Amino acid sequence: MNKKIKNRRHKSLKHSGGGRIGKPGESSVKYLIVGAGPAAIAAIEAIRKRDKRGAITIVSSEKEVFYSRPLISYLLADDIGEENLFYRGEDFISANAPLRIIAGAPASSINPRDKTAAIAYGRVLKWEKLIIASGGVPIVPPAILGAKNLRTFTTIEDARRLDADIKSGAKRAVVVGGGFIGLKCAEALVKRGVSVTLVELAMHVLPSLLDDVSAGIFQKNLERHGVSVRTLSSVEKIYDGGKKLKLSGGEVIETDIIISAVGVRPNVSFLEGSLIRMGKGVIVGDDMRSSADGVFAAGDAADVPEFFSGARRAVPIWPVARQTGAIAGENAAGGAARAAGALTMNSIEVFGLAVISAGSVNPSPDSGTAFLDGAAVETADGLADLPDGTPRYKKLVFDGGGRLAGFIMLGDVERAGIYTELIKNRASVAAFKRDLAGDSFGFICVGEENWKKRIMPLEV
Amino acid sequence: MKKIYAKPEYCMACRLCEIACFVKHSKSKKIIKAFREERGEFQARIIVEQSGPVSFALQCRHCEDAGCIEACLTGAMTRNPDGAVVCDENKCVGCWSCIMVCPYGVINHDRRRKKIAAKCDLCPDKNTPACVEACPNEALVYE
Repeated sequence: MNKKIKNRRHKSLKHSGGGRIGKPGESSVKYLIVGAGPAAIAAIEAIRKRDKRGAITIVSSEKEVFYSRPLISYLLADDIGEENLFYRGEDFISANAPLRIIAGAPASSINPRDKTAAIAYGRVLKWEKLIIASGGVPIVPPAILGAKNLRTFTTIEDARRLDADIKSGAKRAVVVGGGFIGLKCAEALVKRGVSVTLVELAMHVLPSLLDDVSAGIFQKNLERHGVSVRTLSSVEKIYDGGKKLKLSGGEVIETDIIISAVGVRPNVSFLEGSLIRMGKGVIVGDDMRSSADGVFAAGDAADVPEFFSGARRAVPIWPVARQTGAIAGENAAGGAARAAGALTMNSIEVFGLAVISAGSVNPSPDSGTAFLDGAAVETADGLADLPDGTPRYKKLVFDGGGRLAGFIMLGDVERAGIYTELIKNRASVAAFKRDLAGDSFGFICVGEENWKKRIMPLEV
Repeated sequence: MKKIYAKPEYCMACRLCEIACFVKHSKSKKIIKAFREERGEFQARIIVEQSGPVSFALQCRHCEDAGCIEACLTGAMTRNPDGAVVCDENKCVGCWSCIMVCPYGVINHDRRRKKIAAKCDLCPDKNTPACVEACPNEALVYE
């Protein structure tokens, strides 16, 4: 990260810590939103479609609001400057007025009966509708807790801190966790000249996105770019305040920094004592209403109905945050919108190797989701490498009803959305399975009755 | 908003629309130069779909409920005032979330400057999009 990061802070979207609430008597708002990420932004936009005047207040623990957290790896890698981190432009606040932002001041408690929220520095806000879009906070395994060189990689501050570490001479890093965040962090660190050891507890990296074949290819690519990967491993013990650590296999590694990237949990500790019904996050229905009147939740902070089972659980991905945020906003403003079940999907590219996966990719008979009537797994692996030598792999998973339930595309990810849409539609694709699995599948494979109405001019 | 529609009964799968789109979005705008110098770096933003005797050309439908806009991590994918879905090439970082959700599979990679997502922009500087103009059998209409 270069000087861009320090000198070019985004002017209108940065707010001084614990911003003003205003004069007494003004501390009552129609909509209070906790959080300032994709779900919160979607909620603001949805509210404004129905209610042009109702006052909206945003409370955020961070000083920067409305930026995109997944972009911090690009920032750390020096691929983009800090000005490119913001998801909405400078006119977003004025376009959605009256919109007040209280940044750098986390919510500390919520009282749904009085419809009040306490925020840092002892202020209390009264609200009519509350949307909890507070996102997630990183999990830190107990074994590395307390290390002096422990870092996380979730926020812009985390990226700045790692940047400072590198500038003050950090040369070696251990990234604990081989999921999305861990891999993007490892990639950025390598690009900055840091040597990285990646420690993953599961059999392979990206355990929820990939099967063992695709993960093998992915891992080889990581190693080719200098990342030392240790799977089936965890950190057992730290010494010297974290400068040295012992892995479960006995190996001892010396490092300058440790990054905990084992995942996030819903950021909902401020809801303790609120009596709002909680799972790991706030439990909501498909209308994003919680158990408390006037209280909605969306994004990573919510346990939402999952696509296959309808069971409430966190599906912490960007498109779900946007979708659930929009539903929460619309319904808070008097609407009656309902979300389709949240389908897990991910797209990630590390060291030039892209992979997209969605739905059920490692089906087991007892998964209790798509495979109640017997799993039928068909794979189309072993595809030839791309002309430039990029490896390629594809796997389609069909359920017993002949419906597409999941897929992995590695190397060549183009047209992946055709599969995603087929999963969402839950229609039987048994008749054109072979075409779909083929190398040159296309939109025409979805069947004439499906493509006709989408591409042809309307008959008058 | 005007959109490009296909008439499969007239499509001969000649792929002239793909070539016209490629040339239109090339640096030189010249067919031989574009083919020699930029092939492989980016692709046409229109695809001729073919299955047996049936074929049609497909490009971004500029969906009312555009999943690509929602999935975009950066805010690069937006709807412009005319209603067209467009990708801001300066903001895009190439996370391919749009490719993950596009039900038509009509967003692809453009590697010329940096890796970004590319899609039909309806040729904003032309009255009629290049693909429609190039179609010799009126299998593509802009209406």
